[in-house]
Amino acid sequence: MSKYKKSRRGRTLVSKSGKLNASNKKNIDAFKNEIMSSKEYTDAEKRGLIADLNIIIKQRMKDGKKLTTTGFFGELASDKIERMLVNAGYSIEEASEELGVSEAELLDMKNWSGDKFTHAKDTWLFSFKYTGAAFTKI
Amino acid sequence: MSLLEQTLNNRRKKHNQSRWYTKELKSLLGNTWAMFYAILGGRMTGKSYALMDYLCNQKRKKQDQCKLYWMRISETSTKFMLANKAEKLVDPDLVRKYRLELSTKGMNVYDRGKMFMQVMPLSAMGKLKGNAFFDKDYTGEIIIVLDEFQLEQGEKRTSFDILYNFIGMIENIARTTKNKIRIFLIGNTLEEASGILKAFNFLPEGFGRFYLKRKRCIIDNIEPTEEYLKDRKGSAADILGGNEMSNYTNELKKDLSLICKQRLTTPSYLIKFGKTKQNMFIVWDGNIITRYKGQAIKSSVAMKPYLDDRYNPERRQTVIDIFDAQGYKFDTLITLSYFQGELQKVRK
Repeated sequence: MSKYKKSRRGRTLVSKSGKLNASNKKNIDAFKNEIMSSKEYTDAEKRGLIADLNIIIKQRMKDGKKLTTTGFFGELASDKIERMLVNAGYSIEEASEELGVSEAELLDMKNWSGDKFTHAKDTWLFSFKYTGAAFTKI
Repeated sequence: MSLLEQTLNNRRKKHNQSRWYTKELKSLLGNTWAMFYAILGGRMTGKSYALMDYLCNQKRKKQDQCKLYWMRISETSTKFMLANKAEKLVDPDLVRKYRLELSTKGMNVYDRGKMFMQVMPLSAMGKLKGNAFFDKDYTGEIIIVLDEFQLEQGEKRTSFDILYNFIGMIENIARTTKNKIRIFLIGNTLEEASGILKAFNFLPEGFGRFYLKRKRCIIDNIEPTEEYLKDRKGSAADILGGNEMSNYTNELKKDLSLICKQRLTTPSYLIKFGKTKQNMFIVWDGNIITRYKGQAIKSSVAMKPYLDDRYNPERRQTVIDIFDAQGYKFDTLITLSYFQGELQKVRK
């Protein structure tokens, strides 16, 4: 089995230096369709999210910065920990399942010191790895 | 749960938590191109409070470069607000927050002897006409608020046209000012839409924020949050009024079955309620009513005498009977609302 994990970075919506090429446009359209096809939410909620997407895309193009789908979700995250997890490509549910802790414990600031998460004597280090793993047990 | 679902859930939670209007007002004010900001919402959402907070803040920041006008429809309500050193004008916690020491003289409210705000009734427009409100050398901002601009059900209909008086008031205060002016309209949504709302030629059929760029207007129709509905459950008002009263639920109840979007081919006749185009309606293909835009038409029905047209009480009654029997269809909700309003005036 390969030591590399599948990338969780998501699709690129705005390329490096804030450029918008044909494949980015395709990705944006596909992403908008994906948002609109989620059935549990009202049209207003979905349209609101798309409006925010358009604003963030414009801003990134203006700033000359890259944007991916996970980066977009990260921008809308409600707190620091959630943003870090989302930017790493994990939803809170997924991360807590993989770590074997509850969601509340994962989001509790007391369990964090910098990029280290400690729970029941176990410590995980959250840092960028070329292998694609978001966290490693110390 | 995917990242998309997580984000949408978070947003929903946040929306439900933001029960008070303070945050929404900030995003509303970001639209600097707008001149009119209509805020419609159920009761207890903090509309007037958020706006008063904004006004106090602006006055503190800009001082002489900011003129504030607070309007109500009737003189009784302005008198009530101004009584006892404008006790009911600014909420007590805002008085504490901004350390206001209010005093009144006539319609003027002063803070520590300096002009703070003018509280005016729309009913006094005629009497205030010609007063020197406008200063041609003034370069600061003008903020006008018309509070409770929708008359309550059962509230005595005014003897004057609210829209006409409001326009008159704006004319008195701002003359031809186009920049640095913000006009706020606050009200509850009622079964009947007011004349002012109809003047924008738009009625919000759903909740949300509607941008009318050509009219420089934003209409914010606030959806009651779950928290508010939860809070209201079991309260005295809920027990007596139930959850159907629109000034709490903020729902505009209109019969959409009378709206017809089909193509119109032959104009049948004109229905006149007045001498101007605004008071005329044209009936197409026998039963579909639209507003009159100067089309050439021979046949007409005058709904009252002295309109420089033949007045026949029987034809007038026929129009009323057809409307009562829901025989007419309308191109838009706004036409229906206007037609209904004109018919009510004629039937008095």
